[in-house]
Amino acid sequence: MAGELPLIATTVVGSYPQPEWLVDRDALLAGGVPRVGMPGLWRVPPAWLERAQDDAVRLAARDMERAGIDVVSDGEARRESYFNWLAPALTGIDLERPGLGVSRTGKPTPVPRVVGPIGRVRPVLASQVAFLKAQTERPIKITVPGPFTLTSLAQNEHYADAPSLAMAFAAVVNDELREARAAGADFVQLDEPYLQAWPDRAREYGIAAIDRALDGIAAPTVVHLCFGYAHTVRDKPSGYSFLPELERSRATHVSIEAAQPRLDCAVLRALPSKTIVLGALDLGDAGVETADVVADRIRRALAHVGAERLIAAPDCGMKYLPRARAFAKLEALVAGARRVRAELTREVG
Amino acid sequence: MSADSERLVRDFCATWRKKNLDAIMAFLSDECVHHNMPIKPLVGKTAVREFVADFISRWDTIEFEIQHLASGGDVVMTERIDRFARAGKSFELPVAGVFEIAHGRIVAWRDYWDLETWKARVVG
Repeated sequence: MAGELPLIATTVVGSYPQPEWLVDRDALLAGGVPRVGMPGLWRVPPAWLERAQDDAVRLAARDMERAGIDVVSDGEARRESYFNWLAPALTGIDLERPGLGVSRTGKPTPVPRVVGPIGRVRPVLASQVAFLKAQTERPIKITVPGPFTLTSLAQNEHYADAPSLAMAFAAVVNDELREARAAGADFVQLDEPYLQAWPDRAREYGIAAIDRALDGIAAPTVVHLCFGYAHTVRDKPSGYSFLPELERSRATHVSIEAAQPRLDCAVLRALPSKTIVLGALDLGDAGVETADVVADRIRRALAHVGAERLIAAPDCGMKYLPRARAFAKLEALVAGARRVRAELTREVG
Repeated sequence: MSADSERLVRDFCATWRKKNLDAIMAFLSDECVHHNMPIKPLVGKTAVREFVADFISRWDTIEFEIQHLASGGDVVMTERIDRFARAGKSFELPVAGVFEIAHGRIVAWRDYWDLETWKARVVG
């Protein structure tokens, strides 16, 4: 599928702003990223919520198509957060009495409490993927929280240690990904922001857990890491504490935040076998980048990565942006990528 | 199909300006479902007709301005500003409308809007 994409193709990381008629945006913006259920977020009564989410997925996909994005997602319109949708579909988690974890910013946060063996009660992604597939003729991507991040944000009261819990999460994530692929997902992505937040633990068992989650999953497979949503994390380092290690993973693509932290792209040389999904939109910038700015960011990466291994994307999920700004930024992303593509094809021609 | 469906929805929205009940209902199938998402859905043309008749009787002018329209297959999505006026006062409501089309008629029509905005602008 990746072979059918243009040079310097474009995609989203995953989420897109949910409409105000679907979620309480004020509540969304006021709170942190929910790690346990937050049903009060939805504005549509439960009886009609799935239908409304279907319509929100249609809107998100259509916006991405209008902006010219090559690989579209469902905007994660059905999710309260990138993280908290999986736990209700699993055994071994006490949903009634959450545990307490520590976020990457050091704040205590309610998290899933693991009280028994992790298994699946029901599949989640397959039907969602099938729905999205029916909405667009473009390649589609689906995202899942990765096993390392799931483990980092859980209170473990059952497994002997964190690596054991991570492998248990990896097994159910793998089941979800297999079904997502069978349902038509062209790209599957593990969201692993906590690789960067807890690099020592990530070195201990992060790659093994990722590899278990991606076991048997045909390419392209993406691992996304970042410094956290621009909405919640403003001061970001200019380099990753965990990145070259991903070269050893099964993932074929590594998706990184690069624009807001002004990443020194030389670090991408440490990932010679991976396709880089480059963050080229600064989501902390309330302005909309010009195509020139986006093109410059792409060119900086091209100094270290071959064009055939580069895809342009926002830095992270766009969930917290106003929709008009998110759309305008995606248009800029597409325009910037096209500009660089034109330069490259002229050179080749 | 999409172009025909888009035209149908544009014509439907434009027809509201006339406040002609039969003209509006001519776009809807006998089994149509209309759902103003904060409240219960109306099922069947008779129920929808009662709603439309009541609605157009309450307002001096009605206008559905389509700001953006997109479609895929038999589904047409509109982002609109719906305007209503009576007794010299006018109101605006942002609405996202989703229409499902079959055999040249609207079979499902879902309007999403914020009940609090409606209350503040119209009821309040």
